[in-house]
Amino acid sequence: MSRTRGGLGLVGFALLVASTSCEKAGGDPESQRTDDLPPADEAAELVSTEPILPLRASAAQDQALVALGSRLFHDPILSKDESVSCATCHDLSHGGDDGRARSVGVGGKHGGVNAPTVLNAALNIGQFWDGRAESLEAQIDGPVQNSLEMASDWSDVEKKLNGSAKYKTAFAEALHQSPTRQGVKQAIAAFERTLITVDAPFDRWLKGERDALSAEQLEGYELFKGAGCIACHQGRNVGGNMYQRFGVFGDYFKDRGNATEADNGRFNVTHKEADRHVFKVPSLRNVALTAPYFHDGSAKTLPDAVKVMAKYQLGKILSERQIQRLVSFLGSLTAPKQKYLASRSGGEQT
Amino acid sequence: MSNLKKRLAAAFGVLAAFGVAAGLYVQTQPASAEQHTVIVDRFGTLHTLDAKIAQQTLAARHGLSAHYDPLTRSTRSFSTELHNLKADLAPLARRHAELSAGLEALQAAADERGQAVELFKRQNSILRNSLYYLPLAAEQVTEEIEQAASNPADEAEPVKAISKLVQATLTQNLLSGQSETAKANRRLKEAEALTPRIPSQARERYRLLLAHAKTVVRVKNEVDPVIRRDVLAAPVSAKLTGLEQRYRRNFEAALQKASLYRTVLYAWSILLLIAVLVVAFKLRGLYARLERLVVERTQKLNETLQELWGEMELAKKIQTALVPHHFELKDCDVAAVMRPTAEVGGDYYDVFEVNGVEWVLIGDVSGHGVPAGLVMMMCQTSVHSVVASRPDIAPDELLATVNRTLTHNIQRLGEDKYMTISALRREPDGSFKVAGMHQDLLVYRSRSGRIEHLLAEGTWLGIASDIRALLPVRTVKLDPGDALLLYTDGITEARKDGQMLDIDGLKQTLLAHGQETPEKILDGILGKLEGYDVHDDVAVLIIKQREPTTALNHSAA
Repeated sequence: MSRTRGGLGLVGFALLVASTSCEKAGGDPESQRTDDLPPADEAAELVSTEPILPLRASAAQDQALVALGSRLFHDPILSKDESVSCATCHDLSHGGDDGRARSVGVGGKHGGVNAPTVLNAALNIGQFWDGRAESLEAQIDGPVQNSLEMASDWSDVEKKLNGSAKYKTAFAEALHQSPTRQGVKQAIAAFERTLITVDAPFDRWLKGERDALSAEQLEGYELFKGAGCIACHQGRNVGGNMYQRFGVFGDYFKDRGNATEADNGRFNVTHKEADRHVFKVPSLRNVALTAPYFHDGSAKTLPDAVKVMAKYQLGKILSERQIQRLVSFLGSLTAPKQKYLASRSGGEQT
Repeated sequence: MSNLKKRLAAAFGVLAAFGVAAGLYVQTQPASAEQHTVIVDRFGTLHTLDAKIAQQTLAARHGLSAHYDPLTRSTRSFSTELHNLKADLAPLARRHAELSAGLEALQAAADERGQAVELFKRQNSILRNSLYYLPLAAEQVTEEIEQAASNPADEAEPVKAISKLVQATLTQNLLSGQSETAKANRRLKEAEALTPRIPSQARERYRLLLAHAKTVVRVKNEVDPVIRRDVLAAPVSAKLTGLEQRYRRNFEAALQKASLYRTVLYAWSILLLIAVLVVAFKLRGLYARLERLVVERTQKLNETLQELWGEMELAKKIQTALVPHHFELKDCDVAAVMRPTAEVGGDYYDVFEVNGVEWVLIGDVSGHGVPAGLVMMMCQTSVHSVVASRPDIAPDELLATVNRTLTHNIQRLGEDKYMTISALRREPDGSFKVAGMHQDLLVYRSRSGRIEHLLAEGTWLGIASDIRALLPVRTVKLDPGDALLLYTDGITEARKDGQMLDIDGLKQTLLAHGQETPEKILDGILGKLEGYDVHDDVAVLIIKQREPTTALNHSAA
């Protein structure tokens, strides 16, 4: 019997040896993250003396995935009663937002803040006015589940998409899987990464097309830099890469009144007193198309917005003439639509 | 230990041996070199990004970089790389608390540094806005004051104060000393005190100028500590280095462990190899011994067979030797043959004379083999001894006497044997007194040229102890030229194409050759058997009556 016991002992040892070795190091490739940002021209950044750089088209994206993302972006299937799509509030042909101070969601409810544009959103430091979503994918969770916006539930969305033969085929083609919430986010984010608005007159001017800007616009640009706007609205996205307190000179919120929770800005994310009333500096690209302005949608026109900025952010008094020049310059940041709308052709509106 | 248990134990042993080898092999595979390269690469990237963040912060602070894109990208990449490093190290961190603690500390430091960078960007923008505006604002305010002032004396002091304030503020921004800050604050107070003396048209701009100067003095003293303390001196680099060292130590330990296991695996493999060789060697020995044994056994068997075969030959020889080959029968020609089968048989015939009384016997013991031969020998011995003591004994009495001995002996042998036998005693007139139930007697009558068929009557030997009453006696008289044919059933039961030769076949042969000499008749019968399957002993005896002569000399075939 002693030999049998010895054999059992050996088997036990073997199992022990084998089991301890099952948990070797080795990362989980699923959890790896990549930056899908449109490429930056680092060499140009080093050489350029201008604080603003021209936009470059996004890197080639998976066509099937972008097409699926576009379809989902324009399909109200993501909302609870199928009345609202992403495109309802982010109308690509109108500057990537809806022209309202507060967007209208499911059941006619109004959102808490002004809808930011989806154009060039891929270049932002974070998504939402307070930057609470680090990525486009994470951002999508917000409107889909927000009771004031799409008021959906991911499980319902998955169920609805799985009930559609068209979507099942499209997901299989693009992601080799059946519809899931991760797939939806992945596809829409991929689509949004294509929404880079290249070839604005100002970008053409930056690239050397000297007559791309009018004299007034050029004066506006010089003023934009000289008046200090450029301190925050810089980089290729003319903003979008930092946060700033709203009300550096003077208390904007006291002057406006009717404080809301959204007015706390980034404080709502970090819960640090230093971050109260701090917001993402929005990109000024296509700004002429995205009225009304600010997180509260309080500035109805661009000159209004410039005035508020001059007063509360720059601590300056600008003449009407100066404001007109600045607005004229800001108009040169509007890119031709057909370029970025081309990426929509992959998707069909339902 | 039972056989089954032994086998189970052996099977367990073999399984365990290979299980240990497999387990050891797995242990020799450390964290994959590929994975290690990826992780080391990540550490390198993080170090580079860490340095870049410091550089780009300084560049932004000192106006070398006109925008925050590079800095923003670096902090974002750092965060992504760190996320991926955490994913890569997650399995290791689960087992090694110091790695997991190191990762946590690095993440916390990176988060804090990230917030500091954002704060810096924010404050730096404010500082730059005010710094750039300050000289311009001073110029504008001065102009407005000069335009508004009716008296040059009124304007001199405020303009001087503005100039001093701008100078002190810009100096404070360039040099970070406490005395510069104190001086700037002094100039601020002096300028503020002058506010009531500023012409009302210029007062708003004057206030803005003061606000920007105040902003520069305040924010400058906030921004620089943020850079120094929270960005440049952030513990990120130290935590990163610490974590990398821990990871490398961990990996080296894993390598060493793997190498140790490899050594053990080699040793174990050698042991296994030796075990296999030993078993193979033993098996070979066992096989050789088995082969040798088979050869030996086969040889022994052959020898035994040979011995047995020799004995059989001897037994056969005895059988054929016991029957006579020369026959002397008064006025008769005799021919006979005895052909045993492969084995010892039980056929018997005899022709002999004791004190002038001639005897002829023919018989057959049931079955074959040594027992049949033994019974035949007993019978022959018994017949001779009885006739020797009483030469003129009646044939039925002779058979009854022999039967008693034979029956007794057969019973002793425990053999289920019996014997057919016919005994013929020659009478003085040349006729035969016949008793016993062997085969039917066939007599060729020379004068008529026909066969006389005499049915056998009586009983067999070896069945009952007293058979005298069951044995009728009759007389057969041969005339000159007549032939008496005695035979055993080996002839009549010979088969060809499923047909027995039978007594009729035998009769025909006898009829065909009846006129010939006994030898010829015998040849004829044996010739007839050609082509027949003969399964039993064959014994034939032919007695042919001659013309009575005076000469009594006979010869036999």
